[in-house]
Amino acid sequence: MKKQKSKTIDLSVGIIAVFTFVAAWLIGSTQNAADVDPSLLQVIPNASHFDKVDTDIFAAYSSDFPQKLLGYVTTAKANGYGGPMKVAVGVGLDGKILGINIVEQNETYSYMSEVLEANFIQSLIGKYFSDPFQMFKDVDGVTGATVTSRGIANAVLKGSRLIAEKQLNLTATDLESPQIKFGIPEITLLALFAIGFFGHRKQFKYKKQARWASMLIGMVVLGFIYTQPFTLSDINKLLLGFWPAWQSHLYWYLLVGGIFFVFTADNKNPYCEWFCPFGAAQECLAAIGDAKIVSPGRFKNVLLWTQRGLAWLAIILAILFRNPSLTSYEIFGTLFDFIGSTWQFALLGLILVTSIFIRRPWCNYLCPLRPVMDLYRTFRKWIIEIWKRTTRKPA
Amino acid sequence: MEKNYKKTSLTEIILLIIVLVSVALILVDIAVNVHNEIDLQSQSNAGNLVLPAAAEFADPIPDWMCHLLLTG
Repeated sequence: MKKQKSKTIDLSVGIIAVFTFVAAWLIGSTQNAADVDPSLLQVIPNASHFDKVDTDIFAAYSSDFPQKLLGYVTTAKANGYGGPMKVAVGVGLDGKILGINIVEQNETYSYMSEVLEANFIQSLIGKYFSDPFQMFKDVDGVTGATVTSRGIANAVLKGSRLIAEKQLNLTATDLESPQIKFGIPEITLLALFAIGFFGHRKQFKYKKQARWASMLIGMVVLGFIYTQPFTLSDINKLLLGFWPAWQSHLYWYLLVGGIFFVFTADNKNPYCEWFCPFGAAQECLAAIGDAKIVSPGRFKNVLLWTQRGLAWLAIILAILFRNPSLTSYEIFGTLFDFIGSTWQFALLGLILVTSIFIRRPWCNYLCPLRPVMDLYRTFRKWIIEIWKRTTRKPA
Repeated sequence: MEKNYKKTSLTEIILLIIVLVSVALILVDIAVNVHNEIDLQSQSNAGNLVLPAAAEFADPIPDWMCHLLLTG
């Protein structure tokens, strides 16, 4: 009876949560997009006025008499780490890039900070629309913010080529189609899914060993080497529709798609227990301190709903601001990449120390992915029940 | 699994305190991020998001930690 009541509460709250996500999505979509006009002055500073000559292309004129055409300005979009970025780009009459301004972006602050501090945007000024813009070749990529810097470079390239083709009658060689990125992280991820899948089987003898091997590989490869754990920003990207190009982000599709596929088919979370890098880090500390699972006792519901409320708040804000990584409060990057705010470092210290005495405190009481998975599990069960009810033959 | 549970009221209270402190840290972090985002959006709207805005971003590693690392 008590279990049934709890199920009903979970389902009701889950439905309300989904409604609030939809409402936040609608409110977020009606927010005013950034104005382009102020960007025009920034990208061609010598220009005194601009005339619209095509859809989203402006001609820039000097203040001299007679007026002199200085170049053209347009905006272009490309995907960064946090979703689409809009960049204003100014191009001279010879196809040279004169100025760049970021009009809209959803990047994580630390990544964008690294890009700006590395003078990456300035390094693109002076290049030509016909340049290949290949990272770490003719364009200096920013280590630690590769996806963000690549997104900016792609948007600048797109914008400059648009101007060159439409206004300057210049043609550039066709861009190479994006290469499918399939390397060590992708192979490791597939291997970990396989270990998790077979390791779950009851008849599998070496479950404990397989789980430890899987966790350690996950921690080292997906955590410390490549820093690509599953985070709330992946869920937010999914909800916001910021789905990256599959060729360059195959890992993302394998990770997110794999987790939801296994969960749907097998009702098992293949990630958290088997190869979450941060979960593995906590378990290593737990092994050192012989940590126990601590029952929250009478605080069980308080802690459960606090965790859920926190995850709900983070998703709502991310949807409202159209920024998937804005409220992704996990401390994975803080541990594996040594990137984070003072608050995150303080939180990381607290969690790591606690992990020595209490088993997986982050996963059990704070991780936003657990409530997301709980919600998914609730809806999965509900849909199966409805399906069974509708397909049941009358006696 | 159930056998590992250890019921001590003191442990429960310590756990509650740890979680509440963590939640407070997370909320502060979210508030700072949202504040920065609003600031950033207004800068973008004003066309100011070029290099001079770099100072507006948080350092990847906090100052106190840089100091600690440098001075040992």
